[in-house]
Formats: sequence, C-alpha cells, structure tokens
Amino acid sequence: MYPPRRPKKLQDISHLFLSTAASTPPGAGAGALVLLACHEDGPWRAFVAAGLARALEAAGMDVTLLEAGRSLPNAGYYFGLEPSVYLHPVLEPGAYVSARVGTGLHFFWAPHPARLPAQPPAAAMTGRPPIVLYGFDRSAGGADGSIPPPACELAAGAGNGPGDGPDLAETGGNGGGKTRRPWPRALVSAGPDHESGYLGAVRRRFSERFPGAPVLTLAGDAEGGACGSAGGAAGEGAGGQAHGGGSGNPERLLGAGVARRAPPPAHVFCGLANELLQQLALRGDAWR
Amino acid sequence: MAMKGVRSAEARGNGSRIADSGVRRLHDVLCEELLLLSPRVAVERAPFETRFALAGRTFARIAPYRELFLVSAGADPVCEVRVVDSHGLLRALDLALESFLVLIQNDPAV
Repeated sequence: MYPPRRPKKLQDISHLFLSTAASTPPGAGAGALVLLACHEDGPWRAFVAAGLARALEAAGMDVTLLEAGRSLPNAGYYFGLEPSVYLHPVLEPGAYVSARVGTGLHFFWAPHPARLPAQPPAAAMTGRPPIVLYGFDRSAGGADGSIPPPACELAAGAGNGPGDGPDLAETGGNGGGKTRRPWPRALVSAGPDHESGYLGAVRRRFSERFPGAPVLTLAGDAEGGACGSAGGAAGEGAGGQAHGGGSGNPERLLGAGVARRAPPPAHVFCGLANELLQQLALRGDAWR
Repeated sequence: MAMKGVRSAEARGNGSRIADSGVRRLHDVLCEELLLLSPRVAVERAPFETRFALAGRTFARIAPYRELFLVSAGADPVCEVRVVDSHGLLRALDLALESFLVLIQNDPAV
C-alpha cells in the first residue's frame, strides 16, 4: 500500500510560477578569459583546447574558443567537423574557421592570430557565464616566441584600459553590463617542457604582464593510465599564482584518444576545468 | 630554416611530374601541410612516390601522375584518394592527418 499523498506547501512549489522576472544566473554578463599556451610539437594545442573547451561547457559556461597556430590538427578535427569546414583556411589564405559546435561552444581557428576576429562575437543568449579560451602555440606567438599580441591585447581589455574586459562584457548574458567590470584572467600551459623553453617563457611574461593572475599547468596522470586525467592544477601559491604540480607525464594524455574524431571525454579535463573556474572565481569580483 | 627549406624541396620534388599547374599547386600545399605536422616528420623521395614518416613509420604516401596525384594513408587498411581538385585535397589531408595521429596515439613518445 502506498502512503497517502500529502499536498505540497505553497513555498515548495511557488518558485515554479510565482516569479515574474527573468532569472539571472550567477555570473551572467560577466566573463573570464583564459590563455592556453601549448607545446608546439604535435597535436597538443588542438587536443587540449578541444578537451578543455568541452569540459568548461559541461561545467555550464558559454565558451568561445579562439585557436591560433600554424600546424594541424585544429580543434575542429576533435569536434568532428567536415574537412571542407575545418581545413578550408589551408586553401584560402586570410580565411578562418567559425563553427558553433554545441549549445554553449563557438569555435574559431586561424593559422595566424592576426586572422582571427579581433574581438570574439557576443556570447549567445544562453544565460550562461561567458568564457573566452584563447589557445595558441609558438607558431602563433611573436618573433621571440611569446604570447601572441592579439591574445595579450584581448586579455588586457583591447585598449580599453587595464583591467577592463573585452567588449564581450558589454553584450553577453542577461546582465548586459552597462558598466565595464574587470574580467578575471588566467593562463594554462600544456606540454612537456614546463620549466624551460617556450612554455616557461610564456609563463614568465604572463606573470609580468598580469601580476596575480593564476597560472595553471596541465599535468598528466602520474600512474600513467591510458585514460590519463588532467587534474594537475594544484594551487601552490607563489606570489599569488597557482602553479600545477606537474608531477605526472602529460604526454600520456595523448594516449587518451588523440586520433579519435571526438573531444576527449569531459572527465579527462574536468579536474583542470574545475580548478580553473575556482581560481577565476576567487579573483573576479563580478564572477561568482 | 635552411633545413626546413631542404625538407620542403625534397617533398615537393616529385610534383614536377604533374602537368596541370593547378593540381601541382595542390600537391605542394599538401606536402607543406604534412611537413608542418611536426618537425620530426621525415620525407623520403622515391622514384614514383614521396613518403612521409614519423619515427620510421610511414603515415602517408603521395604518388604523382600527369593529371592527378594519389594519396595513400593509414596502415590497415590503406585508404587512397585521387586528388584532382581542392575537395580531394582536403579529403586526402584529413586522412593523412588521422593516420599521423594514430601513430602518436599508439606511441605518444614518437
């Protein structure tokens, strides 16, 4: 016998129909920008960018992925786009790839950062907090192999003054943003040469340009499972920065399906995505 | 930089057999893109084809003819694409890219 059903009280169900204002999710109208610096050799840039973008989307973000780098693959391969879509800039100098690849994910790729849109388009009205993920490698950097100037300008507010977010801040989400608010920024470095070489130089430059902004390092599964996890973003505070542990072997990540025409499963990068969002939330007044 | 130029010239060398200038350009574009996959991609120019390999393992072969070129990629089974236009080129590049990534997936150390 089932127990008799008791009627619900008004406060249990009132939220379903008594609200007359459109809901404003936490963080709507604000945003964050993440630079993703990758090792040049091999598919690091595309693989990590696709995986992290998907993990951020799965975490409820509206993700704009800007990817700049000369070599293939690009993230379009992992999003399962047709060759005529994700490869067409190979034949058309000056062109870039633009594709919406999910409810909350818009993807752009160009071999050179100067070909990408200077400002990412306004976030779709999804009500999700927008986040811009800018992936690049050495081939997209400056002459000295540094952070690409367009990425730096975007992070700095594109000439709108230090601390201001990109124009996306004024148009994205329900909150619309009549006034500019600072966007939190972060750097993620991914690849086997964290301490020296290109990634080390990028980390130093980023820290000089944006003191206090979090710097995370992608590390692989120390046990070396074929499905390596990307949870190597430990907070090891050093001058207000979070450096990853880096104890694992990141190359093992590539064994987790680098040839599959699908993004790495979200759980592979969810540790990094969660750590990233946590770090950004700690530093962004407008982003919680 | 000089080494890069040598690799590029080696890769494009067989393309001179292609009479059609448009198809020859597609051949050159494909060779350049395959070399860009990694600095460790090695080129071997044989009399009738050009092979692209990573750590001694071939992932793509290009055989030029008068009006077209054939691209073979993958190990088992080998896929072949006849390239006469840009559509064929993008398909061939897509297949060669997948073959390259399979090599890395099977042995990330390469």
